[in-house]
Amino acid sequence: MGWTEDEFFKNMEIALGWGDKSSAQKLNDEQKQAIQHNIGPLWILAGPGSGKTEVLVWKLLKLVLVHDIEPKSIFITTFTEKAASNMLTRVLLYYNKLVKSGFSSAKDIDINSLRIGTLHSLCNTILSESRYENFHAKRLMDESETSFFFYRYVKMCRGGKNGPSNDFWDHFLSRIPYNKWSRIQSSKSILFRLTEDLIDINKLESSKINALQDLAVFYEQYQEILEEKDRCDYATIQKIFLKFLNDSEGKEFVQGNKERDIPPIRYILVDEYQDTNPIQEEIYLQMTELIKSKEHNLTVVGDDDQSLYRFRGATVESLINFSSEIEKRFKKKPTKIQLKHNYRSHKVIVDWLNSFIQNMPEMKKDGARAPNKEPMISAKQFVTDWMPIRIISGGRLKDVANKVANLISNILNNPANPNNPIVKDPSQIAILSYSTRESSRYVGPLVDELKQRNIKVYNPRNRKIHETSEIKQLIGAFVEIIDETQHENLTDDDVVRISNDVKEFVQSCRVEYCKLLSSNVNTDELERYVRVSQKKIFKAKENEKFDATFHRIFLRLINCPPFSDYLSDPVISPRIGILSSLMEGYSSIYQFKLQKSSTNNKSIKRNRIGDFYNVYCGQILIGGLNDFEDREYPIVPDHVQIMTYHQAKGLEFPFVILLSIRKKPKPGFSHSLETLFCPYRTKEVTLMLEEDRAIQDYVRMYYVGQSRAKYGLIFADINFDIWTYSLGYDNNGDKRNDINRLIYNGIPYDG
Amino acid sequence: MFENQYDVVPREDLELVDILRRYSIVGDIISYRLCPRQYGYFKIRNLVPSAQGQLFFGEIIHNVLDKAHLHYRGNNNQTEGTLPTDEEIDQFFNIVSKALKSQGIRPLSGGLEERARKLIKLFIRKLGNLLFPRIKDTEHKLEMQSTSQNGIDYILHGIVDVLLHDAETDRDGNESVEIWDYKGSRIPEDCDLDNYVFQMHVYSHLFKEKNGYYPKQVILFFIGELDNDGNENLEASDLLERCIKRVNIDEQQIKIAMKLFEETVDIIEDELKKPYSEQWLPLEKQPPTNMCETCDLRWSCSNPNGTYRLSGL
Repeated sequence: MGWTEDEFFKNMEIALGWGDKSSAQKLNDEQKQAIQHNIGPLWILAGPGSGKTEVLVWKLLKLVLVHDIEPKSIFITTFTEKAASNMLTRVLLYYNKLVKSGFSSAKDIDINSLRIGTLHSLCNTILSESRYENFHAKRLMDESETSFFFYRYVKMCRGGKNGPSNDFWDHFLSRIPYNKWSRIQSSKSILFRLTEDLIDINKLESSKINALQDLAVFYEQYQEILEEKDRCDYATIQKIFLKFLNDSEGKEFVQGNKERDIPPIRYILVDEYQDTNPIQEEIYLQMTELIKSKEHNLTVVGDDDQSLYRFRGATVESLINFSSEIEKRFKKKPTKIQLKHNYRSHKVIVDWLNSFIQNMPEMKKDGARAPNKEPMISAKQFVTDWMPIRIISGGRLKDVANKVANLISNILNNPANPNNPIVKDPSQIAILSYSTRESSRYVGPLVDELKQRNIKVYNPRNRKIHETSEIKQLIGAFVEIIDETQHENLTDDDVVRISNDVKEFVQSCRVEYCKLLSSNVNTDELERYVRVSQKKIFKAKENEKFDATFHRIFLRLINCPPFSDYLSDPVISPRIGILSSLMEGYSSIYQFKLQKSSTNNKSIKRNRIGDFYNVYCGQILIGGLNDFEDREYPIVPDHVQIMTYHQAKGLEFPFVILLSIRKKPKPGFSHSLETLFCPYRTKEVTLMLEEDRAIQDYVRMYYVGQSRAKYGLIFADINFDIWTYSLGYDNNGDKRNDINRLIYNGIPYDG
Repeated sequence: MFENQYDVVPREDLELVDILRRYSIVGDIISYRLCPRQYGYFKIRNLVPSAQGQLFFGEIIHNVLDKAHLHYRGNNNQTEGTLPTDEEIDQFFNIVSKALKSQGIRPLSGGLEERARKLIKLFIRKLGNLLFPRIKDTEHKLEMQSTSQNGIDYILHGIVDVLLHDAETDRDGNESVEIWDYKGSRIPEDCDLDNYVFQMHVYSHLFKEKNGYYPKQVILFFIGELDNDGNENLEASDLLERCIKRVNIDEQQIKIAMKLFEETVDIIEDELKKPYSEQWLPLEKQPPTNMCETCDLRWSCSNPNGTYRLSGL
């Protein structure tokens, strides 16, 4: 191929049909610089709406088309699988346009073979491809399955005499965990952090603090049991990958092997670098070091002001201190480019964002933001006759909801000119809230108000899976089979000890099942299956084993109406899918076939019933199904969208409403763990004060929320008392005094 | 609040980015063609099947053979060019079998693992020296981007078990390469074989797209055929002939296979656009009986082979 850079830019513009467009739609100088940069480390600071994906896509194509880099030699990571698919799709789309415009032949380049994905998925693929012995055929557990694994095997989350003492927990948490599930959650976070923060376990072991010595032992027990059971979790896979890079297989992967048709890695590009954790940072740096050419072609892209994931171990400091880290490691300075232009938001919003982030006292502290960051420049001219920023407050949450609903109704119906609404579709309005629960504390009152106005709302993350009555019926039918005697009600049973929450949950499932039987729905087949199964248990001899597993019974149940009809319901069916994969994960850890009890002739072995209630039902009820909460949902037309700040990451909406912004930032579990483990990291770091980090994290979250808005940004909560963290300060460092001007009085538009 | 000039704001079109879907011949196209319902529920809607026992035999054979290939190639500090001993093969089996079990893939019957072990040992002892020196790559990935008849862009991908070198080059001076695919069964006579041939035609096409020429030979190797009395005493080449089926590389047939592939992509894409409750309905044509017999949704299916009635548990 071998185009010159000029030819590349020219051909791209023609292929994309940019040739005849105004210069505003072309690349700006910084974008062009970022694309042109070729050799050596590159640090791209990309604010919201600055077109960084576009830059990355051009950059990838340029490497391939101008510098003849094999696609397989380029390693690109993004934060989510969806972002990776989006980027690959765009690369392919542009490439196809080049082909169609006659600039290239599709067969020349195997552009699909770009190594693109989340770091986790790439680790998984590469370790499997390389048949790395330390990983080979290990089962990679998802979040829920990891919890089951902890429940069964991990000593750290045991209770009573077998587990850690209260003194131990006291050292890590502000509150002693109150049950097994809270111990599991805490143990998971702590043990994962040891891996992700690259903690020196030997140093921990020789610490003078008993709790830390104990923790080191728990960590080792966890690692041993993972190994023994051929399993791996999402933190450990990164640790294995780091080890891989130091072994011959890893070197071969990075440096290539001509004989075996393995091209070397030549470029590493990392998107969303502000949300990487220390072990990921180390992976990127070590890979860069291994690159044969010694050119250190590592490009990181991100925005420190948009870091959101400290609670999952991310350290925004990796991005903020990128330059000094690179100098220390590679004895050279990275090229720094800031994409300053914001192509997303109205100028008023861009100005607001600048002043919000710059004037916050905690963001002015050294190390809070990338050095010498310049304010964003608004690049799009929107002329509107309304104030792009509005504030709604006063009264109770219900009153606030009423005003917000009026405003949304105005945006949708535009009473001044009903034939020409402000937005085409309700899905162009997003409501961001700290929680998407439709309870009276969060979005509940607003959803009610909107429904009264016949405005449809899309809030797929609202109801938890265990609150769905169809799901309860299914679990109810299931427990009728395996536990006709209702063990959860036997108070004197010391084999099946079940927590009260789980007891209540199981009971309510039975109730839902009974209600279903007495409804008009035809349940003949279901009842028959349950009855015949019960009979089989009854007739079996003591200790007799059945062929059936829990998972098999579950799948058979969903063949019976009305459950089989639920399979064609778009809301219930995915939830049945989740229960089914949860059941498979559970069965893989609690491997057994059903066995008849030796003491109760209507029941299977009691301890297995107990396990099922405590572990499987407990996970649904208390453990939290994070996969489910995290799932990416589409934007559904015709509905106003409701989501959390985190879920809005990477999206943009013409109108954004920020709810429940009256939070007072205070340090949490992740901040204190970070502080606690800091001295034991293999790489020395200095952390800011916990309080400052907590406030900075909130400010960044609000910044992400605010910067999603294109033409309208609306703040809403009951009063202003602690709004400074969400509204910010003026240039003199005082509380904003322009707020009154922005207040929306909330009356419906009266023409 | 909104009086004039609102119309200068650009009206946004809903931004729906179509992500390219990936289609594999075995996991998608053939699965869908055999039974859309099973494909839809277990592949798209993420139900997890109860027993994956039918996978065990094929998986263990593939994984152990892969380890044997790597051994021959000198991985893990082995001397390059040596076949694994029976003890080493036993070790491979133990590792792979433990790992498969942790993935939830267990043998349906106790004898299955032993049978696989016996056949693989025979394979390596009798045929190893004939085949292993010619191995160019294993688990070879083939991938290309394509556009269906309805204009849908997608990614087509597949993994070839083994690529073998051939000493000679072809008339045009291209390297000669053979595609080999291991099957766990005996040589079948029914639609299974048709599907295997379909799969191999698609691989041939993918191979040509990548390299510019077709493979010299495409061979299906049926491990099950090793399980015959007297195999021990056969000459290696005779044994080989007994176990393989050569697939014709006929350009016309490959075109037909690719057309069928594309048509199926379009049908699946159409299916995805249907209302949820109308998706993944069973075909009128019955799938092979053995597929229905192991299907976890056979009791609620309107088109099973015979009618299934749920008994207890």
